Amino acid sequence: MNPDVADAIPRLTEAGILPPEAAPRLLRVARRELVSVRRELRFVLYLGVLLLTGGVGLLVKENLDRIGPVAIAAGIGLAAAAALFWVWRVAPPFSRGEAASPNLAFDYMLLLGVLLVAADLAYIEVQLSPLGANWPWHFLIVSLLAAAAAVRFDSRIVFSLALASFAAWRGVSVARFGADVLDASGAVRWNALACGVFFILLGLVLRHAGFKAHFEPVAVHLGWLLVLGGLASGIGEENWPAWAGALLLVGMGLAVGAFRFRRFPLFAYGVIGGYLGLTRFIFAGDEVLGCFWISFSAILIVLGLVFAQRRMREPLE
Amino acid sequence: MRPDAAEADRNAAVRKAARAWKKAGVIDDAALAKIEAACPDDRVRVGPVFRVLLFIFTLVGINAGFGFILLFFSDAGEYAFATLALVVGAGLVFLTELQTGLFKRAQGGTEAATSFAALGFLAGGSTWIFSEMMGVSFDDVLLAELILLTLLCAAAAWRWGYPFYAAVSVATLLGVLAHLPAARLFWIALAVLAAPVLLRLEDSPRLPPALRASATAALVTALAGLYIAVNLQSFDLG
Repeated sequence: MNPDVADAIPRLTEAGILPPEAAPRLLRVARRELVSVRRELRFVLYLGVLLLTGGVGLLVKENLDRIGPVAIAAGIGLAAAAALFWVWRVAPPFSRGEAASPNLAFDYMLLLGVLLVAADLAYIEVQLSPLGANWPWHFLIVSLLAAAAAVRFDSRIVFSLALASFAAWRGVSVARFGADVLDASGAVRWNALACGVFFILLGLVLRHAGFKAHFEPVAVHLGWLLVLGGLASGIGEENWPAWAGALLLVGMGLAVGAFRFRRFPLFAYGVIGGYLGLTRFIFAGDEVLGCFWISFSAILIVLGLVFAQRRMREPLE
Repeated sequence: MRPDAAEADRNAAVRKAARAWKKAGVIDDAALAKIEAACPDDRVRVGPVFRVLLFIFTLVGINAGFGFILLFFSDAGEYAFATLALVVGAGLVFLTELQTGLFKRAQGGTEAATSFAALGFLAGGSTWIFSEMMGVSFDDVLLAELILLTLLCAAAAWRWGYPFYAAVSVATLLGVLAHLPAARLFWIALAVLAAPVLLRLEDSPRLPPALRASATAALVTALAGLYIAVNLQSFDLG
């Protein structure tokens, strides 16, 4: 129960601020007589999708000898087709802009269908190797299919999956980047940077064209993370000054731009990236200077952030 | 919690509900403005992104500053670290009080960071005293620290209204009880005895929202302890 809100509702209704016809329902919500489980349902649906796709992988791994590759591929394919068929049946007509989901499960059934398609393609590739030495191209196929599904059925989750698959095709996977980020080869780093720039431009084009403009934050955020991550991966290399300098300049530029356009998460990325770049230069010196720098600079950053947030006025929720 | 902070917390809950009503279309902008005028907010608050940034950089600054000062006392012997940690911890408690009191910060990031660091330094300094200066065994140091953290976090949750500290307090209390014979029974007893009290506190109009949330966090942690205590796997693992 929320006693403060429950106390306030009658007062606000008497004062004429709340419409009297709305008060009973709001009071029921405040007294927890009416409880929304939307968030919990979404969480359970998402968890269900992850468990199902994980379970499919485990089932395949443990029963490969007994079931046989063709039966497995057909089974996963049928499950994917069933999920996508349901999505197709209930989906609203295509729209260039944002389309409301017809129900709570829609996005998650679409995600399940696309993930099962991806799993099926991966399984076929492993078992039958139709692409041979060009096996990474299967990521591009998954990316294009996911992108098409995302655009047709207006799903940001599936759009992010499309972008991640594209990055994987270019040789940048989350696991690999996390494990080898400090030893990342030049090819991986340059791929990450190129992917990042591509995603940023894609987001800007989508917004400018007014075509699925609400996908722009997905593309831009992932793009900037790839760019900053790619630059940061170079600060442990021999030619670290170039990478640290680039990280500093790009981070600062991003922070300034995000400040101007009140893009709060991008502002955070820029501040952290720029700070990392600058700190790398200071840490090339001695440890006393390093400790002093970090404590002094952190205080300056805090003061700067207090100033910035007064100008940017980020909403509380 | 301070009375003024508690009042501000209550007003913030009504304002938050009003924003949700506006989003649902129940009220318009004019009504929202009237509600915000009727339930004024005198606290300095920031949005979630800035809150996280301010928290991170404040914590980085405090720890780096401590490291920097410690460099000048590196030859002062084993007392230096513990004394410095306790002094800094006490100073951070004072700083947190200043921010939440005089500067009226709430959801500001910096006061959460100083409170977190305060608890860390007080716990760290006392651990050093117990283990290095008093030569207490590891098990006894652990028990002493768990008791200390239980009390510190409970006090922090009560004074500053952070549900996280309430959860940690109960978790460390479970750790203390784990040292007792028949620990499993104590874990079950804690949950069974505390649940009715915490459930009432969750809905109590006498408590501001932050302390009600702390009661919820404490309840969830106690119930997690109950689950672990009765879970078959915990029997297998001993």
